[in-house]
Amino acid sequence: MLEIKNLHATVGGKEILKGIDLTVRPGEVHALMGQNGAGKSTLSNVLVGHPAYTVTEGSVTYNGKDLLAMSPEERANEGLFLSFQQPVEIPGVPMNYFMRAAYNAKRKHLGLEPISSGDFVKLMREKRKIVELDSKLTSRSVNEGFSGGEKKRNEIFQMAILEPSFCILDETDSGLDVDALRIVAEGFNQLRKPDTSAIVITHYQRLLDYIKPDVVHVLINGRIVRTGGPELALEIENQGFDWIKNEE
Amino acid sequence: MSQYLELFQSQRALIDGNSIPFLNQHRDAAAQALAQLGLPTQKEERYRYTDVVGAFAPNYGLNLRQAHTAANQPDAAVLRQAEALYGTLASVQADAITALNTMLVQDITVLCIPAGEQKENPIRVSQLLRSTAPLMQNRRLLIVAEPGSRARILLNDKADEGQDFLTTQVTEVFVSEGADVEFYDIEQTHARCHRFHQFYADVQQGGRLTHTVFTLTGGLSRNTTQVRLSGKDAEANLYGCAVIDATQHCDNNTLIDHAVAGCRSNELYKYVVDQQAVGAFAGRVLVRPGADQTDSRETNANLVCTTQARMFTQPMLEIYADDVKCSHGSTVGQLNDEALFYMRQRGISQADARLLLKQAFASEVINALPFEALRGRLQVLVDQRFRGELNHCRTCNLCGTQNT
Amino acid sequence: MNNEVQDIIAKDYEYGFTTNVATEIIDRGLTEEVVRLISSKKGEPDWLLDFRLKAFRHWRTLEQPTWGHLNMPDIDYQAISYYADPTASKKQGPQSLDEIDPELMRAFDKLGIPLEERLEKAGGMAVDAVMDSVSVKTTFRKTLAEKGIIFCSISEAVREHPDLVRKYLGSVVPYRDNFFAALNSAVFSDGSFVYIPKGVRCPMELSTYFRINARGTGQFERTLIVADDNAYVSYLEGCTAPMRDENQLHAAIVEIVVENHAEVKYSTVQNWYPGDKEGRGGVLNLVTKRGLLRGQHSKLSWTQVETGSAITWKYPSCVLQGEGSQAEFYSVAVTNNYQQADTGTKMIHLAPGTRSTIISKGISAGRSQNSYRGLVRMGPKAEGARNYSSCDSLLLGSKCGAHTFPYMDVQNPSAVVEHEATTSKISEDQLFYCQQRGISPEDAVGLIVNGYAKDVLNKLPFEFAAEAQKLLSVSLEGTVG
Repeated sequence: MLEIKNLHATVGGKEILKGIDLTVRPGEVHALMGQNGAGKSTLSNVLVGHPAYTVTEGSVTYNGKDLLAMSPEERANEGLFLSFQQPVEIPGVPMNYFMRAAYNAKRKHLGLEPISSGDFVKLMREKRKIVELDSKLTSRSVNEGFSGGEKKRNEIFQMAILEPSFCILDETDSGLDVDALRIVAEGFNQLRKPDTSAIVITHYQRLLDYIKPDVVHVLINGRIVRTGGPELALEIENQGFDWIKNEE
Repeated sequence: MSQYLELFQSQRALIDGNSIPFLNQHRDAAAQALAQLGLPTQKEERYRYTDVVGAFAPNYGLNLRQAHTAANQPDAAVLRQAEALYGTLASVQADAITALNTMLVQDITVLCIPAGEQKENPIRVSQLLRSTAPLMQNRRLLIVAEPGSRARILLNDKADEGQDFLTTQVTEVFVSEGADVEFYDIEQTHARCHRFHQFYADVQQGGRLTHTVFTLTGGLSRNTTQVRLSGKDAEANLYGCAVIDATQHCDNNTLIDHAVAGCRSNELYKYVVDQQAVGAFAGRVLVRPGADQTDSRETNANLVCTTQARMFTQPMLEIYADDVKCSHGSTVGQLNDEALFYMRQRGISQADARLLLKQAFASEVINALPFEALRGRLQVLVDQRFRGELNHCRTCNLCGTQNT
Repeated sequence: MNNEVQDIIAKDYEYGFTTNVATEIIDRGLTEEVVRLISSKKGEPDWLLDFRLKAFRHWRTLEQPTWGHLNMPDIDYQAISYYADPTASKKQGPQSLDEIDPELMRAFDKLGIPLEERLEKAGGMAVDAVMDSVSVKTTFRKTLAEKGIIFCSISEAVREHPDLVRKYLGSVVPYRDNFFAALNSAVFSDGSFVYIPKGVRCPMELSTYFRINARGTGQFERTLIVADDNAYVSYLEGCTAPMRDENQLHAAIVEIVVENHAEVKYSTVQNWYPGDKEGRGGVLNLVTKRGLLRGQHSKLSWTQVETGSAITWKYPSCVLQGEGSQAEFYSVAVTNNYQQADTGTKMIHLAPGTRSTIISKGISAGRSQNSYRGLVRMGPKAEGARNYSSCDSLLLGSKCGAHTFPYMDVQNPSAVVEHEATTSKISEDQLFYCQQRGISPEDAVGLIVNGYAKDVLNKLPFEFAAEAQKLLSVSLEGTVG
């Protein structure tokens, strides 16, 4: 489904990714672990096409298509969804208006007519329950005045509406207390279809207690230095990253 | 400008004969002031961003014969009140454009809100320009809100396509003790229109004035807005929004005069300046000696969309009292890149995302307005303005409907 | 505010002594002959006389500007003497300390200016002292010369480095720039010249002290600073004048050229005589200061603490011509009694990636008027340029005025300009809190004002910061009440 080959990328002229190889098949969940500055967020930003990042080498194939040739919105409409580490506040753009624009963009991409207002309200109401998102929040401006936890819930809520086939959760657990983490993670699990794939970026094991990964990768200094099963995440939880570094 | 002085001298009888009589008493002083002042050049601080001399240079025709329509003759009491107040705020000595208007104006709209009357429905003043030759029109509006009254006035300027127009409008608003006046000025003219609106208001104790000007389409728009807070606990709110492109020129020049202690003022102006348009904002807040406990806030935010577009902004604080809370902020920038990317990650096209952010930018002004029913209408107008000029409606996904 | 302190008497101007040195003053008045006389007294080459004459002829066509928020007394330009030389007849200027009139030495000692190089042990700074029209002494010449740095009076530079002076003089502030710039260009007497060669970091602070001494004279000094590629210099300027009941005119020009990757810091502590409590006398400080950031990634920073002068009219400006160049303006302006200040900056962004910051703190007391006036222009080529401006006013008393006149002109869609301004007064709560902790209201005002001005004071070189803090407190003494 997603095939990354020898991916190199820079930001502000500095090389962050130094040759990433990674393949995610339909239905698989891959956890990506590593310390700050290892390149985890860079990888997610490159995959969704953030203009500040430049790919200098390598390729990414998504469902047989060249992902890097697509605009960010094309990638989104092809089913790629990023749950941002720090979702931006957009004052003046009401949440429901924004979501409707996104939902209709996707429908258009699929050759469907725009959704009626009534149906959209129903859809919003239904999906809100999954992440226990307060209805007041959907009438406010996008992320404006949301707490850290509300922003993360809002990301999963948007995922629920847009039903992506490939999700990247970029440190969705950071800044969440235990209850919020459970709600967000269970929401994600509930939304997942058998063939939905995901890359879960995290520092800690605790998110992986809820979202069970099939494969765990350790990213150090722009490269994947180790790949293993769920037990690798537990090893890191117990011993940190240094033992891997020392083995290098 | 001299052609209008000559016209005034040669056609005096015609002008006087087709006018509301009391207007005639003010013409000589106005003509004298105009001759003395001359039209302001761009060396004058208040007019540094607008070429007034150039705007008045062409020979516009005036319709001196039919200017005065006697359809709605006000009653004698209202007329007496208007006569007493006329020109007391709009000084002909202080401004040449006001002088020119006073010299030539033949008709006046007078609105008098009796004491204690609460008018919820807006009073609409619609002005349409229609002519087969280049036309100058001089308009006059006088509003008296008696103590404790409340009114909403909606001024809408439009013009038929295909002709050059020059309008001067002088508006005087008297807000008495505890009265509340909301004035909404919406310009939807076209590229060949030159519009000068001189708005003067005086707010007495406990009174409130809300002034709003939306410049959507037009050629040259110059709005001078001067509000004097002359009684304790008076309040002024000034809002403005300009969505301009092509060769549009929009210059809002405001003065809030805190003449006494304990008054509040608040200003919010936003501009979206696209293509070769020029925007200018100068907001002067004057706090006179003794005007303690003044609370004044001024914000001006602007988007400049191209390298041919230009925005001048000049907030001014002039403070002669020490116990005051005054601030102003001004920004010129562009759409937030992170917000744009966030939207694109959700599948919204770049063009639509930009449109959404521009609408959001303008909606801050709209949402600040106290007249709820008008907010939705204004949002639609602004949205249409953004889309219409970009010829965008057929392809956008925002409202989900085809071509509204 | 508080009755107990109402009768605290304002401290007198500390630097208001006159110096009895034999001074040669030319007759009052300004004519072409006077311009020629100044030039010949200084033994100048023809090209410089020509420059002066052009400026003079242009000046005669101009009128004094009136746009400032200032109530300017009429200046009779024919009643001023345009040249005063306290070193009297010594043609070449003093060569060693022994040649300087001891009275003059004592005058600068009184001001705390280290004319003697004995301060070298303490790290010291190089000083060019200018009294009236003539540069009295430049210290540390040799130490600097070893690095190839030129630091001397501008008259000397004309003699010894004519090519450099000719290349740069008037290149940043042309004589046509404004009324006072034209006047200065015609009659400038002395000032400092600094040239830092490529790749050299100036090892010490360079400093000029200006002092107006003679009666009925104006001071028209001219400073020219050139930092060549990759050079660095920090430059300090200090000013005082004796107490006189007439107005003294000071119309200076400072020009700075900053080449590729070079950096110049220019700091001023201006303490000209502000006039007495009734507003009589004081210096009219009408100054044109401008830096040209010609080189890529060049940096220029203006820091000013303005406490003196009856009238201040100055806008140290930056033209950001080099790609990625950065400019800063940090200002504290204090006005008391009848002082008037109209000061600020201009940031003209002409190149991509340029950045500028403006931090202005105005403090008004007594019956003074204090205005910030600034322009930020983003030209069409200023891709991605940024400006941030913050202008705060603090009012002490109800008879003074604080005004803000920022102008912004933006022609580039990727440029970002942000301006904010606030006006406030010292709150009763703040004062009371200090008093409850045993601090007198007088000291409390000093404390609060210094805290308010901290962002700017922190930008000053160490040597100046303490002096500036003291000046702020002194200037505001007697304002509580």
